[in-house]
Amino acid sequence: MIVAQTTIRRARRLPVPGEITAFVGQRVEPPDIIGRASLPGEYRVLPVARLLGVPDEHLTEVCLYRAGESVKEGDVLARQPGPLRPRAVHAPADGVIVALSEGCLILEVAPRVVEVRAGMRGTVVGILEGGLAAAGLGQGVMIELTGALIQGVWGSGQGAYGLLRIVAGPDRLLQPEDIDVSCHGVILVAGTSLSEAALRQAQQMQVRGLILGSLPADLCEAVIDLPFPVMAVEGMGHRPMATATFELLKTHDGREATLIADMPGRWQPGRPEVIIPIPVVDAQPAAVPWAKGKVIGEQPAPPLALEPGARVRALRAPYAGAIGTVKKLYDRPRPLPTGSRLPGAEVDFGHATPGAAASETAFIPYANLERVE
Amino acid sequence: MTDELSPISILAVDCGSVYTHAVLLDVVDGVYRMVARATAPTTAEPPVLNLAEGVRRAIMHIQTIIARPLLDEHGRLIVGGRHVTTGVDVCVLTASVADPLRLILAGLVEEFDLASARQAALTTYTRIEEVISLNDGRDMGGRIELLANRQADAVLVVGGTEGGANGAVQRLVKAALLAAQCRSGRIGPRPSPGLAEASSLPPTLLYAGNSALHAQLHDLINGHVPLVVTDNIRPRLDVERLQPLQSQLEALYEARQLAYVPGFDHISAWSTQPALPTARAFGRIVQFLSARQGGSRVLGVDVGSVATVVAFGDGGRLDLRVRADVGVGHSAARLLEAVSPADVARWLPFPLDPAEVHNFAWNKALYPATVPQEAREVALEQALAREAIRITLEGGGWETQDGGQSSLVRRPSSVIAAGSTLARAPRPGQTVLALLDAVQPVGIVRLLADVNGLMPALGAVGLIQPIAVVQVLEKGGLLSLGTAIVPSGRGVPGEPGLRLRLRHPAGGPLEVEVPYGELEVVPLPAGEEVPVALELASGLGLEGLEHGQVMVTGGAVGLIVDLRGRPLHLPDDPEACAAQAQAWLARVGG
Repeated sequence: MIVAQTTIRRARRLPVPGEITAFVGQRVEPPDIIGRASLPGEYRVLPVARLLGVPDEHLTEVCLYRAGESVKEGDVLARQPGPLRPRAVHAPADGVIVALSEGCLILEVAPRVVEVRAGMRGTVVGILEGGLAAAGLGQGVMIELTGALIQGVWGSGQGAYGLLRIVAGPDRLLQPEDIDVSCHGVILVAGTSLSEAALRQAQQMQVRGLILGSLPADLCEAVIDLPFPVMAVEGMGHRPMATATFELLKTHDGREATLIADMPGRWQPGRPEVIIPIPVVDAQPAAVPWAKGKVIGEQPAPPLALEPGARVRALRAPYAGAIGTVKKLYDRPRPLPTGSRLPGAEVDFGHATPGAAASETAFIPYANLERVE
Repeated sequence: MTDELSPISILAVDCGSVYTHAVLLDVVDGVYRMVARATAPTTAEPPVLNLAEGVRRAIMHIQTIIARPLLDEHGRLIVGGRHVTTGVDVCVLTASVADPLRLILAGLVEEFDLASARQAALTTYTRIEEVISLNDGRDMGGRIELLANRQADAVLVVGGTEGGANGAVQRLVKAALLAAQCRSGRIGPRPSPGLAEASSLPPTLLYAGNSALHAQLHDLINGHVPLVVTDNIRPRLDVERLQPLQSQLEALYEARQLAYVPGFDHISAWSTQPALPTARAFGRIVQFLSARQGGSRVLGVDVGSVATVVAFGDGGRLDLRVRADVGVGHSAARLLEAVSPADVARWLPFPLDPAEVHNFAWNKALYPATVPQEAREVALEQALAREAIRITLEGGGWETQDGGQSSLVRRPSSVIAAGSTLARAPRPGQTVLALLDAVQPVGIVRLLADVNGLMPALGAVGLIQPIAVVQVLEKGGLLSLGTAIVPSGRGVPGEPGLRLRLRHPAGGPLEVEVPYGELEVVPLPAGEEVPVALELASGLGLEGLEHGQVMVTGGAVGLIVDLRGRPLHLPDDPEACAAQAQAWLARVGG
């Protein structure tokens, strides 16, 4: 989805049940805390009987605590007095003893408190009761704002907010020399892909995020380990960003943006995305004809049947990433250059196809199209 | 003729990760036929998040074809009641749309009970997350810690022969129980179906070890975790009993994974019997065909978006292998964790940087439902499919003959391709070449394709109406691609390897000489069965060759003579390798 200006609603949720501190009507800034929760700690199993050289059945005799009791890191959990050298087992971390069995002491490490921030500038319009946190449906708040929205196809995880800076167009790779000290704390935008050296330079300059046209797949693992989020708008490889997408980002060069690079699970809605809030005073009638003023909720609506005039993005070569307008629908299968026959749509890509010299129209199977608005 | 009381019209629905297939079988002129089929995109994932929606779309398409209402005003399938003008008599369901079952295996010895457990796990959609064994270097604490901290859907405990010692297995059970009890404090109420969130459920303890522990198990577990007890997978060191555990794993896949797919509960209510995992249904048809064709060997390969299934039927006995982490859509990127991009690139008819293969696989995984628009991308998808089949076959632990030198699975009398990438390739020659490259069979091999996506449907139908399976297959349910003649042994490249003579139905006598190292195609239309006289060069042999003659059946491609040698040798130079692949593709009309 790529929309120049709209009302956006986004949920910010706690990873596990906790406490929501924001309230309906509250205006929030990106760093504001909207709630906090305690993430359960992992289990540590200490083979106490073996460590102290006693039979398993003597475990309770040497343990100084019982199941359900809390301990602090360093506390002596069990002791075996001896004539020469008494031995002891110490708590490796704060936590609660959950079981003493089979010669082992099982410690649940104390939970870690996490604070969830608003991550964007807007107004809290609802408190979300929450269902299953693991299904992405935990407690949280709904934040509403007016802004531009650009969704990508891959994200490295994490989120960030900061000023956007265009550092390379769709016509060339991002190079290390494009990233200087002035990029510190900034979300960089590069219209196509980048080299490994550029990635290292970005890390060195402590950028706050990266928005790319695409990313070489063999860099994905390294990117996931970076301390900042990275989003690829078009996919993997060296696919340039669609002109319309890049132009939209360019109009917001220097503005504050929120980058959410989380990859939802297979059963979870949503996509990695960048949200650029537009102050109400600046809000103008849409600068591009296909921008609509509708509210974009957290969960995208089911795909509508395409109709002539719909704005679509092609997903496969030779038009991968290109944005165009549906001219005509063909529900009866039509031949493809491969020899297959499939239903699809005739799409006018105008001059949006990267490198296209003239307006271009092509038949694209429905399976290879997605709506962008 | 069909029995008066048996179901007449049968709707079979197969829900894959990308496509949902619906097939309507009905009695026409006294025999079962496929009267309509339809395919719709599967809608279990966002944004629709409702499996039923895609199933309804497929059924609505069938309604249009047969001009008979199948859905009521609420969008529910009309089942039963023998309505003359509406609905169907029976609906059966197969599915592979869910995530695989995540397993932790715990057993005693890698080579015995754990090897058997792995084999059983390979027969349905599972992913082994971790293995605990007596000699893995972990102590009791280490095992409990692993089990407590690792997310899994089930812990499978095996070990101990019948009548043998059971202390070590008992300790494994206790470790699993302790870990489960630790986690139970965190586990909330069971989520309602439709949330697709089975990961919050406590792992099921699945026990297939020494039966002496059965009575104690229930006391030990005491309702703390879901417990399933089945027969000992290794009752004696020299006896392996996989089937009971296989059935339990399939049942668990349905109960823990499929049941939580959004909308699955609606669809399963229409089905007259529990949903069958697609791999099992596919395997049943392979098994059926192998039993029916006079004790022949039938190999079925189904390359899907998430998983790859290889089913081998040998005279009615089935061997099934499922790689739930290897596919050409959702799992395309994961496939490249098992094979290298260069392994994939070697099958392409054009040179390509392995990094581009990596990019392609990732893009396909990001958009698994998309279809290739260019020949280049068709070739890339089929190259991924070749590797998916190859590693599923290689990791199979198949039965061998000749003292373990030759795997029977490489000597099938028929090979059947299933899954969109292979079975519905734009050109039949592409399917033929992909099968020959990936399976590398030897002998006289009939090649077929499940172009209608019928096999899982028929596998489920066979449980309630076996005659329907026979009659639909007899009416050409599978597309014949032709027959491949693949001698074993070694010849001299470029020298004559095989001379064949046949009376071609279109043009009289025909004699063809094929040099060793080459691939040759003789067009022979579907439905034609002709005797072919063969003369093999020294060093080459052919199983099934009697008095220098074999019977071959025609198909969409025809008679294929594959003298490229086994195993296939591909040039090391990428340019030469691509030229070679291009030449072979041109030979088969791809």
